[in-house]
Amino acid sequence: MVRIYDPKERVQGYTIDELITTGNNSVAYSARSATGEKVFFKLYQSPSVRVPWYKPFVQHQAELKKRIEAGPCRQFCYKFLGGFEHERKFHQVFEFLDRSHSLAQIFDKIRVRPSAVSWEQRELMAKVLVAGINQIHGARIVHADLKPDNVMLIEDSSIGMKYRLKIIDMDFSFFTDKKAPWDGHEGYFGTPGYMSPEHMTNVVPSPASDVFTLGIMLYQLLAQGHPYPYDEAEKYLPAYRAHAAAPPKLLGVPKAPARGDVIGDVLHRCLHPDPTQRPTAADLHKALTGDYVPPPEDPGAASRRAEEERTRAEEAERRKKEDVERSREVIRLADDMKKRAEPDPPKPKDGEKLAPRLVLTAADGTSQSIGARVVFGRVVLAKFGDAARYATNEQFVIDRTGDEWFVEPCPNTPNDTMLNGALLVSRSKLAAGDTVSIGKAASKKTVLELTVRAE
Amino acid sequence: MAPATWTCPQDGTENPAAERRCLVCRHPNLPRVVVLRAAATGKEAVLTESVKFGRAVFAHRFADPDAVFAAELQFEIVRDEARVAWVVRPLPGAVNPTCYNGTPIGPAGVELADGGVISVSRSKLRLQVRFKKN
Repeated sequence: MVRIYDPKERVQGYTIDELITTGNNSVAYSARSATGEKVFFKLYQSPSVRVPWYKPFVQHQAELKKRIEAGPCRQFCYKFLGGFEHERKFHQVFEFLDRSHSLAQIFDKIRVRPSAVSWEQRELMAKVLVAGINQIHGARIVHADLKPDNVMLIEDSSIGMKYRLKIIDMDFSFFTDKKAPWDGHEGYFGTPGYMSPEHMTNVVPSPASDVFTLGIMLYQLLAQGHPYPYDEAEKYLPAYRAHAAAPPKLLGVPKAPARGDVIGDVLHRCLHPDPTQRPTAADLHKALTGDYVPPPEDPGAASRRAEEERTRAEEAERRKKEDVERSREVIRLADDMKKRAEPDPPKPKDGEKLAPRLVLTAADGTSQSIGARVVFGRVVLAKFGDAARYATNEQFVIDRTGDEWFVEPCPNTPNDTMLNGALLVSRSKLAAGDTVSIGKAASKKTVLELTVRAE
Repeated sequence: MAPATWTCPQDGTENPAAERRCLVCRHPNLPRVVVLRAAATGKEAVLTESVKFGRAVFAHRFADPDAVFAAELQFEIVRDEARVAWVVRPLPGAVNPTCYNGTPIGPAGVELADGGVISVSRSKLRLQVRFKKN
């Protein structure tokens, strides 16, 4: 178990300010250095000092820092400030990106109000993001866990884009010219909805895998949205293999000399199931800036395109059938859960306090006790049963403020988080007897009902 | 000493000083303002876009007593985004040649640099070039 640091606690010259998040591998805090500089302070749960790849991982972090600082990619990446071991745990400190928003937050914003970020700003963001990944690849690094949450935009009204872009969360990035320290011990991270076909088939990701994910993010930024907007993880791979994404429809006219048809073609090829057929990040950047010269087309290309169109149509038809079957399965599962549930769930007592620890109990009696902020996702929820697969990697967060506990839905989850059977839309206070579950507000079907009580 | 880099006003990228366009977004590194100062009178003209110069401008704007040596339309200063440069180009019909740093300019024009001198013939109506970023 990792000890959670308290605010004002001092660790190797750093003073902890507050806990930011608890992830699968680490606990993150904001902290102050000895000189008063605000930093992003990470305590690693994995790797522990006992695993054979711990020391290689520590050396790997030093080399990552060196490669980033040595090349032009440093202006696109957050700064690694240093790492150290404390109480037999690895810690690492990064620059703190104040006044920043993740690209995921920007996507949420433009979903509600598309004009919140202009086409010109979106084009600039795309160019900087792709240029950054191109430079990272130039330093022989594969990011390997790209997603909108790992692209930060720092407010800066002095430039046309209004934000400066930084790529973060690179501690599990690895090198194209060396095996990752965890290779053979652990898998490669990825996030549902943003994983490449290589991630999903246990093939070591490559720069082309980053390009695949870049393609998905650029569809969201510049075109009609996520090219594979599925609720269920098992739908992705067949669609990826069929290259089922519709060609992008750009939301604006690219700045000359860039051309919409060239960008559209290159962007669609980013999602090619065969990594060797994808453009490089450099090609993608050239397409965005108008410097890309398409290779001459071979005579068989037209018939292959027609064949691809046919496959896409067949895949769409098959997916429609799967959707119907999946809905039936969700209803069956929800009915099963109801049958297994206790007839009389514990009733909340008025004014009962939940702190210092809170327990979540499933219908079959499986429970989990928590004492600090926890992000509940598919992995954490797996102990409560199969229905955890309806959760995303980050479905909801439970955390404590003073003596009170709160639950908050995570953005961009295909299935809703429900509180007492109603859609949870914002951070809400928890009381003993409340139930937190996953479902669809529209159909009122829920699974994985967890009852809250004090320990 | 000139700075080793310039910051793109569009996306904030630090580019090497020698790069004419931002390496990330291709925004041209072109001074926004050109100031021309008459050597004879000290009077200035501030340009933010392409402008044609002739006798009237020399007589009134710069109050230069040698204005008669200029043609009605002598040369133009052009903000050339394709070349990523401010350019001085002679206009057809002028009797006296337009020179830059003492050398007559051909029809394609020449790129202006900070501190350069435009003149009519080698020594008349001398205008010193100064760039301003904002």
